[in-house]
Amino acid sequence: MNILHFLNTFFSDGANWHGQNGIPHRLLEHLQYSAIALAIAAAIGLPIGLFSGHTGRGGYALSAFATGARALPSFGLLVLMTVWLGELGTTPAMIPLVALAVAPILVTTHEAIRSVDPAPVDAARGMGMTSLSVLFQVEVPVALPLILGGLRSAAIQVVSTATIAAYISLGGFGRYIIDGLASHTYADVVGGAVLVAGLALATIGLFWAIGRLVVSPGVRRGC
Amino acid sequence: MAGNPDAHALSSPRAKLARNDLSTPRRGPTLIRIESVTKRYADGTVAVDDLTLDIPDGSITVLVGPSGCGKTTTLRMINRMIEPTGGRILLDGQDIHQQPVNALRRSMGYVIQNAGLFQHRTIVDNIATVPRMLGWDRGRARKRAMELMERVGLDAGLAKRYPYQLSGGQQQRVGVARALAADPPVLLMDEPFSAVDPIVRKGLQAELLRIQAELGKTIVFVTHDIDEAIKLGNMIAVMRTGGHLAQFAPPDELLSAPADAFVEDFLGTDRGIRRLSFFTSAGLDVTTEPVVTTGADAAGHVLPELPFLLVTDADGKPLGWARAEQGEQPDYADLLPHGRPFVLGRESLRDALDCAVLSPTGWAVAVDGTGRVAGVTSQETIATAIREAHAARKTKPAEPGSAAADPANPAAAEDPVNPAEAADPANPAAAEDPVNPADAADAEAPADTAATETPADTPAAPGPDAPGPDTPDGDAGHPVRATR
Ligand SMILES: Nc1ncnc2c1ncn2[C@@H]1O[C@H](COP(=O)(O)OP(=O)(O)O)[C@@H](O)[C@H]1O
Ligand SMILES: [Mg+2]
Repeated sequence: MNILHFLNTFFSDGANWHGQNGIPHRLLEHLQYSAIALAIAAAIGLPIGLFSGHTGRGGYALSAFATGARALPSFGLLVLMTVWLGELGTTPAMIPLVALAVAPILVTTHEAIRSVDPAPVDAARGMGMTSLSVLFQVEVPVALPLILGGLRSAAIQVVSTATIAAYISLGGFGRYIIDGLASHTYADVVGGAVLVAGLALATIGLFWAIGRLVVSPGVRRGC
Repeated sequence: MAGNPDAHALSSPRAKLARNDLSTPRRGPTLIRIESVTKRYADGTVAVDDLTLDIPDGSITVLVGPSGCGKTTTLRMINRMIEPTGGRILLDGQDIHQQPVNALRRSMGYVIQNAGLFQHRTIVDNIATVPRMLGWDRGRARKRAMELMERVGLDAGLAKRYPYQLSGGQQQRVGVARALAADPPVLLMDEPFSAVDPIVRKGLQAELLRIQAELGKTIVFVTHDIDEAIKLGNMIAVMRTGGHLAQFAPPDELLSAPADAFVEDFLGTDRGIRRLSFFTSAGLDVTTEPVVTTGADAAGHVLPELPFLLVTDADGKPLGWARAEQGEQPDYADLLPHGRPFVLGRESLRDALDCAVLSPTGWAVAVDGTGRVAGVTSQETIATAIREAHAARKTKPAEPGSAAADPANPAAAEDPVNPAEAADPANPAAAEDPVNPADAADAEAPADTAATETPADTPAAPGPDAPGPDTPDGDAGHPVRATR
């Protein structure tokens, strides 16, 4: 029994393509958890990172927070949240995912804004741009590749870690892995893992495309 | 084309006032007045100490001094990038501290050392930044930006490029265009040309003088380079470490009468020679006696003190020096190079002297604006003219003391020989810009070939009031600026 055999078994099984436990449905669930977690994390991390980067305040607090957040075990948090909140829909699964994603978004955004060349910022202020315009018209466009990089690593981590949602009876690709382990159906375990890896790769591709679309050629410098 | 700002470009009442000032002889109130200003940073450093400076309207004021003497701090207090800890700054008689900071900054162009372009925007959009901020629609802002690209000497083909695709010098031009885009009455420039190589810097300086001749902005220019200060400034404020003002004077006066040992030391050697740049060659005696057309009979042309004849082509352009003895025909096929001629009346006595010193015969060749020989002159004649120019200035009341007493009126101080012209209301450009930057630009233009270029080739498009090439600023004593 090798991996290819497992994969063949998993993907050629017609039952895996239809219904509640079919790949399309599990994909949608997985994407939904990931997207929601990432959106919440971005909604927290981006504004704080932009503000602290722009004003130069709170840098130390941010790095302390990031170190703490990285040390948090997602799985432990999941169990803790479930015990604490009960099985309230997706909430107990969202909290560890968001906690996981906020740190890279926050820290990278802060660093990205801090690393913008001070000369254009000085010029912009000197020509009478408001502070918000300086941030959004001068700093963000130049910091965008780094900010997107932060979002991308957050997204990859979320996509990979969203498998744990299956521990608390939610869906997503984690179902194949957890159910497969429980029932010793290793083809399902391998299939689920490959699907998660594929999705992580697709995420990288997506961010590459977004970068091409929203980062100015003047910042990409012909790359 | 030149000079005039579309009316729309001005948004604030102050800007309008300033523009009106430009259309009449500028004798109104000083636009920027720095009053006993002190800046003490949080760490206790006193960067500027009780500085008082009246920045004259419509001309270039240079702040110069060694690194760390407080030039940048002074400049940035004018647009409130830094707030003073004492004293106040008035703009058109009003304390800038009372004014909305962003509106204030939008009425002042700001140019910094590495241009500080927005790398995510194309060149045309960089230049259009302030007009867009002022609410112009995109089309109009871009049209204006294209006009400015032309004004600062940038090819229109660069409009769609990004900053990283431009050379340092080109980027700096974009920086200047961007600062000029909304036609602000004031331009603040902090070492704008320090980061480019000397040749490019020379071109940028000439371009700035040319633009200034067209637009007549009130420019505050910071540099640590005294040569740049002398080249560009109508007035120069020499600052010394600790934020003290050492001297505030027109360049000519600075060179002739440095206030103290610090200023003298800062000016460096050659003060006397460099000052000759401010003496016109217009009144210089030249003789056409030893000038002959090639192939012509030279009889009676050879001067006793000069065993050479200057040979010209049929058009009157110089070909070279021919050895000649009294009563003999010269060998027209064997000529010595004539070297670089100077343009009589347009270039300075410094240029004339330089030509004479470099000439194989010791005599300088003078040409008119079209490159035809106007005559030749000896080192002795030039020396006499220099003595006379010094003497003329000494007798004039506007010299050192009184000029310093009236810093708001640099024109009077710089044009002591011809006060009548300075007051001529029909000719504001001449009155306000005795140190005619357009001419300086001409004289500078590409390397040292300007003198032999026909005027049509010169890049300058002088304003309506600038003297044409065929009428070199004729009046004796009218200061000229030329290659330094
Ligand atoms: N933000 C600041 N905090 C403390 N000291 C400063 C600050 N900016 C400038 N200085 C000090 O003030 C002095 C004048 O600086 P600056 O105006 O930049 O000089 P310049 O432009 O003539 O080189 C220097 O001694 C400099 O170290
Ligand atoms: Mg400085």
